[in-house]
Amino acid sequence: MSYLDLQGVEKYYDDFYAIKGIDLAIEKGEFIVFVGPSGCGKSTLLRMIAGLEDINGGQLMLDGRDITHAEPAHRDLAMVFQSYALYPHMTVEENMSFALKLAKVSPAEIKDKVEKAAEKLNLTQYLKRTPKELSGGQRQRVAIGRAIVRSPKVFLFDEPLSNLDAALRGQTRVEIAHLHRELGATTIYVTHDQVEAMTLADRVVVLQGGIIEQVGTPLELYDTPANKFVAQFIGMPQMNILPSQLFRSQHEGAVETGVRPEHMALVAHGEGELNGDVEMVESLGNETLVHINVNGNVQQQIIVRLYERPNLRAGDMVGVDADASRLHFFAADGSALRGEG
Amino acid sequence: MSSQARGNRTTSRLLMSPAVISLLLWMLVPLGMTIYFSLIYYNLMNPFLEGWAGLSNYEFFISNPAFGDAVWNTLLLLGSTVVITVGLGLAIALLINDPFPGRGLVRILLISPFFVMPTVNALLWKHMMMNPIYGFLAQVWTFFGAEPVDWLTDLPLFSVIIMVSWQWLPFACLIFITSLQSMDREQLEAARMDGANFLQQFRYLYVPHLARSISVVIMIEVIFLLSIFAEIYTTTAGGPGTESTNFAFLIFTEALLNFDVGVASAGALFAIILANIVAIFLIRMIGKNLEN
Ligand SMILES: Nc1ncnc2c1ncn2[C@@H]1O[C@H](COP(=O)(O)OP(=O)(O)OP(=O)(O)O)[C@@H](O)[C@H]1O
Ligand SMILES: [Mg+2]
Repeated sequence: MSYLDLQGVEKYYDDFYAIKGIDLAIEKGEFIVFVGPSGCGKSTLLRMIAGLEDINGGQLMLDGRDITHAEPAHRDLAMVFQSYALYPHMTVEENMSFALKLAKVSPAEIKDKVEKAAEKLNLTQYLKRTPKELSGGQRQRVAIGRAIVRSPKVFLFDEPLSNLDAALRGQTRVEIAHLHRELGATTIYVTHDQVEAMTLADRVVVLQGGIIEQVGTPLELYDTPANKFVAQFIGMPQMNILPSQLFRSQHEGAVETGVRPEHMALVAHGEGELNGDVEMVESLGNETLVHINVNGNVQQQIIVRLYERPNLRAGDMVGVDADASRLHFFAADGSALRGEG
Repeated sequence: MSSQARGNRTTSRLLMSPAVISLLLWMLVPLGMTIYFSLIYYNLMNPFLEGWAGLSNYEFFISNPAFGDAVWNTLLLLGSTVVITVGLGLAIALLINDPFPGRGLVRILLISPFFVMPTVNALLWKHMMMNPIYGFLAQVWTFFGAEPVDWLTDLPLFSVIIMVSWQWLPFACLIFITSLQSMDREQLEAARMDGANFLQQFRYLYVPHLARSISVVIMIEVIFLLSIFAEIYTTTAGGPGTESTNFAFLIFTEALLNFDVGVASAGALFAIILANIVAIFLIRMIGKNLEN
């Protein structure tokens, strides 16, 4: 039996079926990331685990204990909120010691734990300040510190980096990864940023419309997406998906074929597997993204990623070859077809 | 400092002076007249008694046995009403903070007593609620087989406190409800996860969040409640004896029942002193809250 076990967990908001029976087994020490488009139920699922939303069906087990209906405080979980939710009238130190104080831990032990956490997070010099005297990144660290001092069984993060600017986000992402290695704590992390998902996760859970589309390591999701949704959701820019008959290699039962932008190469016009005109060229320095309308059809636009700088302009006619070993085939219902067909 | 800057200052002072001077006159003339009246013999019933009185009006006002009662009653009325309205106001505001069907209607009903005129409020309570024979409360008491209470005779000050609290509770509620709406939900959720029960959430999150509105409510209520008059005039007329006489009512008794303008003026000056003492305590206690 795994550490944290979701068994057919469901959620209704009145008659809106928000979470449609989630089964998920999380091992001790794993870093799990929930991703999915906006409104897919990531936050709801996390809040159900936290105990902030009632679970309407199914079971939630943590370390062999049924916590489906336990009070949030009795679940042995700690959560870092998107808005940080620091207590504005308390100092950093009081914020971090609040839970321990309520749990009647001895003052000496509280002091010890808070100081250790503050040291880990570089907060020692800010202990006497109130949240409004801190920068966004520092507040973020206090929120994490508040979770750490409780030594919970599972850490929950709901889009913790979305209020930070791009540079700080990258830095904090590295810090969170470092912290996870150091503490080895089981972590569930919600984000809609796939870079965060790919870099932090041991396993990624892709959600859509209240169900799990696929669970796997970041590279599994990238290399062998279970269906068209995951294929297009993971990877920037998106996988190109076109009707199968446009390609040379075919697969039994496939109606659509997908290929990632980096698995295609430009050839002379008329000689490629696909041919079309260049719609736009995005030069990003390290790479170039070429948008091509296949057969001049704007509905069938693909993106080719090149790592050299081609001499192309909008309107040029080009041919494209796809790497036959890297094709993804999708059946009419969107599920991926694998193996020799 | 350059002479130009000095010139600018003079101009700005000159331009501001009409406003400042008229405000000053507005305040100083009545104050001066009150001080002047308090120092002469001036009784409307006895036009022959006149001349310089020195401090004898003050002496007379203080030595009036009602003086001590009036000070005590004023403070008691003020203190109890503030405590009741803030306490109940907080409780009600928290109670109706979460959505429930009909919340809008409940809010309107809660606020409506504030729009009832003080005299009407007092008469409503006097006749409909507290009358020992046909009042609503008497009916309730009789229903349970108890002897009806003659509120205005037996518990005059308490009755006035009830009326005034009823009138001011909506004000406190309104301010607290508004303030609660800006309470951060995620903070409350974080507190729940940290294991805070409702009382602890109240103590560590709600009270600090509401501190400023509580200060505002206390401040405004104190200003208005120091001079409560209509409720007393229409119900107990300060009685029985002086049991429900507050400062404002005592001054009224001197001026318009005894027609002694001199003594009433002396009383008014005492009222100013009392108000200032209360204000000093008030600012000490809650001024800090308003700053940050
Ligand atoms: N209190 C609520 N009452 C009714 N419906 C709700 C409630 N909270 C969320 N929902 C619905 O449940 C679905 C999932 O919401 P959730 O907040 O979990 O989305 P999310 O995946 O976290 O999206 P985002 O990335 O935008 O944060 C949404 O369709 C939302 O409209
Ligand atoms: Mg969300």
